[in-house]
Parts: sequence; C-alpha cells; structure tokens
Amino acid sequence: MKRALLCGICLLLVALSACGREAKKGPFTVILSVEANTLDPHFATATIEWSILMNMFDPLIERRGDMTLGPALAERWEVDESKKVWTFHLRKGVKFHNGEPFDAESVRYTFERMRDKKLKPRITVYRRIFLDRIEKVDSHTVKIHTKRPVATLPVWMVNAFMLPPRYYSSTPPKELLKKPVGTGPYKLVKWIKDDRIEMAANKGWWRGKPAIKKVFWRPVAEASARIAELETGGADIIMNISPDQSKTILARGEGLQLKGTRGGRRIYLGIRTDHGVLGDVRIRRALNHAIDFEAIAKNVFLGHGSRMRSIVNPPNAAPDMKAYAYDPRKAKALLAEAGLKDTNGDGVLEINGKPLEIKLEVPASRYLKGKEMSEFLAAYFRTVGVHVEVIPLEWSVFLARRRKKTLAPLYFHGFSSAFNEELDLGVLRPNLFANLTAWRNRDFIQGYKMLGQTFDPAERRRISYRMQRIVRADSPWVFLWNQYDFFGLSARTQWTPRPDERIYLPTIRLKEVNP
Amino acid sequence: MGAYLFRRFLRAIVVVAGVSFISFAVLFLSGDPTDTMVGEDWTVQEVQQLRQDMGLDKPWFVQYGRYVGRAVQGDFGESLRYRQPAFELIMERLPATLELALVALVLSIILAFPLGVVSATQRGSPYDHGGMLFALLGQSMPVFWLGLMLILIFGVSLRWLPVSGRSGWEHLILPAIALSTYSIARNTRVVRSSMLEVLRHEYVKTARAKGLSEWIVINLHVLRNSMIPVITIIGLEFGHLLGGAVIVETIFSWPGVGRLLIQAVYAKDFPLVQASVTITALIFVSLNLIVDLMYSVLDPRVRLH
Repeated sequence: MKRALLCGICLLLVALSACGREAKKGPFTVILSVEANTLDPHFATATIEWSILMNMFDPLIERRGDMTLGPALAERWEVDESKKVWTFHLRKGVKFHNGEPFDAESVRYTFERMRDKKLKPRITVYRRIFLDRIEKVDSHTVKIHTKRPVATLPVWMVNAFMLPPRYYSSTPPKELLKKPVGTGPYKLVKWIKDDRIEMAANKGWWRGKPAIKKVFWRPVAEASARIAELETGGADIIMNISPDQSKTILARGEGLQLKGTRGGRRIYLGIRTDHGVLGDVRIRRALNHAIDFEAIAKNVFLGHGSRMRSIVNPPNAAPDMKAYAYDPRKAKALLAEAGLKDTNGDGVLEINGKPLEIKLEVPASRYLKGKEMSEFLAAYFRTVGVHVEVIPLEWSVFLARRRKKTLAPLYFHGFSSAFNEELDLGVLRPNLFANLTAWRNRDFIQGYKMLGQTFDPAERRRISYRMQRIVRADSPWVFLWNQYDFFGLSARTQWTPRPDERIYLPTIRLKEVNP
Repeated sequence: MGAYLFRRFLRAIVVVAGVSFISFAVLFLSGDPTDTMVGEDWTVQEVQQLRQDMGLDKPWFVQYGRYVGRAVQGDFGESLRYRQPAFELIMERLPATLELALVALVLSIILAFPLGVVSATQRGSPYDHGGMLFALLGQSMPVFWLGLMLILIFGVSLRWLPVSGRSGWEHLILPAIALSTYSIARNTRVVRSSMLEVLRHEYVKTARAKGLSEWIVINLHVLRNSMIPVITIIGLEFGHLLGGAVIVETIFSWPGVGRLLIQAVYAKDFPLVQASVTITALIFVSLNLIVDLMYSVLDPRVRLH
C-alpha cells in the first residue's frame, strides 16, 4: 500500500515536471495591471484602454513615440484664416478589418457618433474641439468646423479613432464590445473578459503587415504574480512594477530586461491655497525648498528620476526653468518672513500662538511609492519646523474626496499628460474638477485664454513660457517629479517604452533567443 | 414538509433582501461610481452632468428602490463599467468559479475523510499527530500567503505549473490547492471529532461485541452516524469556497465571479456588486436549505417541521 502511494506520488511529480515551462515562445503576451472596461473607443477613458485600442484603430493624427504629432489616416491637414475650419486630406486605399473602405463618411460618422445623445458616449473630444459640424468635400477630403478657434485640435485627434459607419451603425452596442472593427495594425480575435484579449496581425494594414503575428493582453492585478509570469516565460512585457520589485527581475538574469522611462505623469503635492497659511506664497515656496528630491529618488527609486522643472512636459517646457533647489536655510528664512516662529523651542513653528500642523492625504497604492514618498516629504517638512501628518487613503475614498473637494490642505496627486503645453498648463485652470488648489492668478487665467486662440508656434511658446514661470513663482504645488514607468521585458523583446504609458505593438521587434 | 419549505423560502427572501440592502448601503457610503469614470481633464460641470445622467444625484432610497423594483423582475441592471447586463456578466464568469470551487470541494472531501477517519480510529498515533498538525497549519495559513508561496515554489522556482490565467487543467492546480487547503484542514478536524464522538457510543461496542469486522463497524455504524455535522459543514463549505474564491481568483488571475466582484467594488459598479452579492447570497441560502433537507435523508429521526 505504502509503496503504491509512493510510486503514485513519484509519477505525479514526473508528470508535473514534464509541464516545465521554458523561455517564452508562444504568442506575444503583454501583462497589464488592470482589465480594460471597454473596447469601444467612444467609451474608453483609461490609459490601458487607449493602449489596447490604438493597436486596433487608427486616428487621423497620431502621437509618435517621441510625443510629437504626425499624420496617420490623414495625410495632411490645414486650418483656414478664421481658424475655425480644418481641412483634412485623407489617405486613400485604406480598408477597415471588415472590408469597408475608409473615407470622408467614416470621419463624419465617427464624430457624429461621439455626440449621439441617445448613446451618451464618454469621449470628450467633440466637446474639447468645440465641434460644430463635419463637411464632406469629396470622398477623401473633410472639413471640421469648430465653434471657436481651437489651437489644440490636432492633439485631440490622437484619441479620435476612426470607425466604419456601416458596421457600427448596424450592429448592437453589445456586439460592438466583442467585435470592434478599425483600420489598425491588429484585429480582435477574442475577448475573454478578465482573462485575455487575443489579437492577430492585420495583414492588409496600410503601413504593411506587423512583425508580430499573434498577441495576448492579460490583466494580472498582483504585482508579484506579474513578475512571476515574466520569470516563468508567461509574459513578454509586464507593466506597473516598482523599482524594488524590479531587482528580482534583474537578479534572475536569463536575459530578462528592466526598462524604466520618464513618463508624462506629473506627481506633485497639491496645496489648497484657500486653507489658512497656505494662501501665503512664501510658505508655499518654503515647502518647495524644504525637500531634497534627489535624496528621495536615490532611496526610493534606485536613483531613477529627477525633480520636476516645470508643470509642462518636454519638449514644451521652458528651457530656462530650473527645479526648486533643496535649501532648508532659505525655507526657514521664508517661513520666518511669513511670521512663523518657534516660541517654545519644541521644533514646531507657530502661527498666532498655535503650532503649525498640516495634514497630507495620499492615495495608498495609486502612484509609484506615493505613501513612502509622502513619509519622506513629511520628514523634510519637519526639519524646517512644519509638522505634517501623513494620512494614507484608499484610492476610491481619495477619488470621492477629490470630487467633493474635501481633501486635506496638502494632497498627493498626479496628472497625466497629452504632451501639449496648453493642456499641460490646463490642469491648473479653476474649473477643472480635479484641481483643488483654489489657486487663482489673473495673469495665468488670461494667459490660458490667449493660448487657446493663438496658432503661431513661436507666440504660443512665448505665452506658455511666461505662464510656466508664473506657476513656479506662485507655487500652488510642491513640485515633485515626472513618474517613471517601469516595465519588465522578456529576453526576446526589443522595445523602448513611450512616455505616455502606451504600448504600440508595431514598434516592438522580436529577436531570436538561443536557449 | 410543504409548510416547512414555504417558511424556509420566506426566510430566504428576508436574508437575500437584507444582504442586498447592506451591500448597497456599504457601497453607497464609500463613494460614487462616477469617480472612476471621469477623465482628469473633466470640468466640474461635466462631472455633475454625468452623475445626473446616471441617476446618482438622486437620494439613496430612490436609487435603492429603483434597483429592487427591477431586481424582483429578474433585471439586475446594467454594469456601469462594462455597459452589459450585470446578470449576464455574472453568468459568463460563474462557470470558472464553480469549476474552481467544485474541484476544491472534491479535493477537500477526498482528502479530509481518510485523514479524519485515520486520525480518529488511530487516536494518539503518529498518523493522528501528523493529521492534526496539518489541520493546524492549514487553518492558520492565510490564503493569500499560501497562494503566493505556491506561485513562488511551483511556478517560479520549479517551473512546473503556470502561475495565472485559465487555459487548461494545469492552470487549475495551484488555485484549487490554495482554495481547498483551509477546507481540507477544517473538515479533517470535523470528521475526526465527529467520529470520536460516535465511537464512544454503546452501539459501537455492541457492534464490535457481536463480532463485526472493524471495517464494517467503522464504515456502516460509525461513519454514517457521524455524518450530520460533516454534511452541514460541507454544504456550507461550498458557499465558503465561493467566498474564498474572491482572494484566490485575484492572486491567480482566475476569471471568475470573485474577481469580477472585487473589480466591481473598486470601480463602485453598483449594479454589478449588487447582482453578484445577491446571486452569491441566493446560492448560499439554497445550499443551506438543501443541507437541512438532507438531514432527514441521512437520519430518519429528524423530521422537518
């Protein structure tokens, strides 16, 4: 009996070891940290969704890997004298995955569907460009009429993926989720929700057949499970890993790669200027001078990243702008100038006889090492006499408080970027729901209005540089950094991550890996 | 029997309604689904408009009333994230969860019974000590820790088994072990103690005295009589396994109802959370009822009133 049991166990072990998993060979697999909610481009709001969609659909204008704009389904475009009529000359001979031709009607239908009142899509492009109407000039020329001049129209086109009118107007919305059809480099094969999205290369893609034939996108919520997948050959790209976790990838060897890239997401401490002493610019500047970001980066991010110079991302950041320097002496001087004193010698400054204590709320697991970084920041603030209490919040609680504008006077937050100076600066406009700074600077608001109607690149630069300097001087934020995005790559993957967190499959190459 | 069933049915309705109300209240207090739907570039007015469009600006009792009104007609509403009927989404995921829970249950039964019986009949022996040590460890290991350890050992170090997803039978092994360990450990203890209880009875002595073989004594007299508490536990066990699947499915990226529920909670997807909680409660309550009905089959002395 015992012997039979032993034999049984041995056989089971042999059978299991035969399932041994080797270096990655099968379909190219991208492992995401969250699941896509939708594959309908007009209902997408998350970066993950845009990342997946851009591989199945094409826009008129695309954002390239270096974050500049370039032609995609529109070969060229121009704006007329009134700055309210944009003419797009469309690429000829392009077909959707279902065989429908791409033409002026596709453009008209796509924009009309965006503002379909019955459908209620979540895409905001038509509102952002103040869309008036679409005029078909001929089969491959369209005019987009806007209600007012919108200089950023080309930027908004990046997420306006073109749809085949016949298919989208005749298919029930539920079906469209399962079988989206675009002109893009990949076709959807299957979407098993919460498990995987399978894609196959579109052989007839107008830019030529993509190099990788079959791709799986899989959501794996646990970071350690994502790393395990990479290590065991179950993934070619994994996203959202932290620098300390990345050590295990590098230690493993076997050709696994770690790629960190400076992303566009601007991480900052929001200062609610309507809260007591924080209305005083000297105190806001003092907070900026009190922190040594480079030391934090060394400790928390393995030396990756440097302090944010401007709220506008390169290449649009003002070239002469410098990041706030770590200068505790200057910080103390500014605080003293603002009337703060430590009268009882306990190391905490007082205002009107009361110790200066400020709360800092941070979403616990939303931003890379957000909680750890907040603890570091609080320690630095304490060294100049400002007592800051860090309160970690669950992300959904943070979001609710952000909407209700009830977050603490200091809050840890990050804004993604569309890599355009106007949109980057726009995160500080007063009517933005996610901007809680209550910072109202007349010059800034006026500059923002002017920027929206200025089309000349040189003039736009001039206005934007001036606005960037205003923001720095008035400091409604404690400027932190541009979050690095870390990706793990299999040995066979050759790819350079983009700053906008998107994964564009046609830019990936596979190399032969010798076992 | 008919009256009994009717009473139980009424009680089940109260339980399910209570569960649905509590889950609604907890979600309602913790936030708003629009929070995860809006883009960072939205204005205050656009956010308000979306809340209005979704009926979230209405008071809680109006929202809850609307939900209940539809739910009693079998319409659980549309998931806010997926824009698909919530019921349909759950039915899509249910097979994966049932597969996992059933395999875990089968594992639990085929391992816990022999372990428990051997421990009870050979009380104080090394087998008993070994079995009880396993039971102690199995019940005290947190499932997320066990799951990660299984991934590290069998997935990463030995590379025998895949670490996540659901594509073939080999994908089922690690999650099923993680899910069933607690249940095996607990059932081993229950079987053991229940057997020990019965072994003390006079009729067991009588059975032995009249010369029956030990095999017959244990299997026909002891085991059957010790089944009542075991059946209760196993019946409810399935419900617990469905609940435990929430953690296991998340760790192993198993596309089941548990993971759907967790994501729905994060996204404040009210209709989907409500539907999954209600359906899980329904399953739990039905299992409970089935267990009670089975008592009378196992023990003719039990009458249902």
